[in-house]
Amino acid sequence: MSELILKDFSAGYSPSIPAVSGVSMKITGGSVTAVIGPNGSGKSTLLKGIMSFPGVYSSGAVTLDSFDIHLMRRDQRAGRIAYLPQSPPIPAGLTAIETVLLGRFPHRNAWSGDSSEDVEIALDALNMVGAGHLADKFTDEISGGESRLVNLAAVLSQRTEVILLDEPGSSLDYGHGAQLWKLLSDLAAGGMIVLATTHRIEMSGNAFDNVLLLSEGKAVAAGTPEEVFLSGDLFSKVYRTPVKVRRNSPDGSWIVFPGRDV
Amino acid sequence: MKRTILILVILAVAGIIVSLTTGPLGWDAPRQVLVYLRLPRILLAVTAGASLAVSGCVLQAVLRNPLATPYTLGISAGAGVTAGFIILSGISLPIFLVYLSGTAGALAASTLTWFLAGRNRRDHSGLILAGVTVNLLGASVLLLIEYMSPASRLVEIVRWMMGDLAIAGYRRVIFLLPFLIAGMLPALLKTGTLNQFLAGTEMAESRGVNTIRERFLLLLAAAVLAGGAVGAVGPIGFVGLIVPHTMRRLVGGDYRRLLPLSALGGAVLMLWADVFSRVVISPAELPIGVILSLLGGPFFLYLLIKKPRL
Repeated sequence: MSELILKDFSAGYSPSIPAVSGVSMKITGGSVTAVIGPNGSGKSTLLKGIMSFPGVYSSGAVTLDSFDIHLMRRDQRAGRIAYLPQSPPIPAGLTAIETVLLGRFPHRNAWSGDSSEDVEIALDALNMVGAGHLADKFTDEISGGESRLVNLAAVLSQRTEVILLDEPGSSLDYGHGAQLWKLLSDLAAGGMIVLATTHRIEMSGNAFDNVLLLSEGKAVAAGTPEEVFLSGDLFSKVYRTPVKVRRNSPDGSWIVFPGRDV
Repeated sequence: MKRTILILVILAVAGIIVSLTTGPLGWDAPRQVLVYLRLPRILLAVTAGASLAVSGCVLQAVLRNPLATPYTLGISAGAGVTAGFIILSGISLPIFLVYLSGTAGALAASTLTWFLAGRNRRDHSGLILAGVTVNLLGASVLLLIEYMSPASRLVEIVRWMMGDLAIAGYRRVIFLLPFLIAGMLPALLKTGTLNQFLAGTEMAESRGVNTIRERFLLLLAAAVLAGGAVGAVGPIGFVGLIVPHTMRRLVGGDYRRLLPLSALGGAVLMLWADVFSRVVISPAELPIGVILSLLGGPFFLYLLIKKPRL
């Protein structure tokens, strides 16, 4: 099983002022880890820091199976870790299947065409997210939520052991949102490491295995969903408004009551 | 896709035949006219057209802007300043140095754009803003040069800015060739990387593209292609805009198809524009830049109104 470890990890957009700092956690393959917290708490920066994008400064250690991710060559890393940005630009002029095929790039050279295996993997990924019917549509002619699914399929077609997703469920309706977390849960069950930021705990059912709660760039709680969600009035403090989280007894899914004291 | 290639090839062959047989001396002109006047002109149109079209095509992906052209990096203004300066000063240079000075001005302007963008060059809009600034700067310097020029030189400068394919012999083609090869090869080998730029910097990075290095190399390739062409034929506009957009409509946005077909399309457009420039007021010629701008203006408007895909 793969193992992703962050040790005293900090990241930000200037070397001196980290947007998120001092995060330590260990994620093993076969689990879904949710990063939650208010707007601006450093969730996205944490993922960008792990990816060491240009312009993002980071310190501390981040290793995958004891290899320093930041010392990996980009193409090696791309074979092991995939990433979905919060709002990637729509690659106009491409169809959905062509967009998904972009995810096969790390597995071939910079000019060659798509092999039949590539096409098969891409179609498979589109079907997995429930967007197989969009294959031949142009990405600038589909809805925001559909475009989210297509990009997610592109990430899956990269066939990596780790996926980092920045708000994968944004702009998805109840049906697709619930399907998304079910899919992520299934993928984790197959041994993958899924690390996703989200604002919508209630959409996830009970897909989370671990939760990291960030507030103002610091990890204020980490552990199982029970440990984080049910720890007194922590949520109300962090979100600066009464927020209650309850567990739905029949299926163990989580329900959130924001702005209300229930 | 296949139909598009077939049509382009037919247009290219037809263009070559028409171009070879058209001129004040008609279709039975002496062999020397064909070999030393018409054939080099065809080769120049084809190579310059392909260079400008591919340059625009590359820039539209790397700068992620549908309106990017080879001149977005300040290339035409840079070439205009050096050419204007040489014409004003009246220095007589060996012909290769004259071509080279246009190219050098173009490349100097794009280098200036790169440095002006500074830290913002990570981001495509930083480069575009720097390019616009360099273009305005160059245009003002050129205006100053024109203002200081005596009437005869002024005419020469204005005429140079319109672009021109009229040549005798192969010197300009030979001049352009190394730039064509140096720019075209990396562009063709990196079509998959260009596709990754369409999905944004972060997606591209996450898929293993060193975006800072690749952006630099591709901008360099685009600048070399356009710089070489501008040195050889003058700052002919709109080819880099019209051709990639038309091709995108015909074969889609995948650069593995789009880029080679834009090269072919650029060659065809330039070939036919040249034929028209020679036919319209024969035996005199219209400047090819004017023909292309007359065509390019309405097309640009069409782009703005119909919003075809990038």
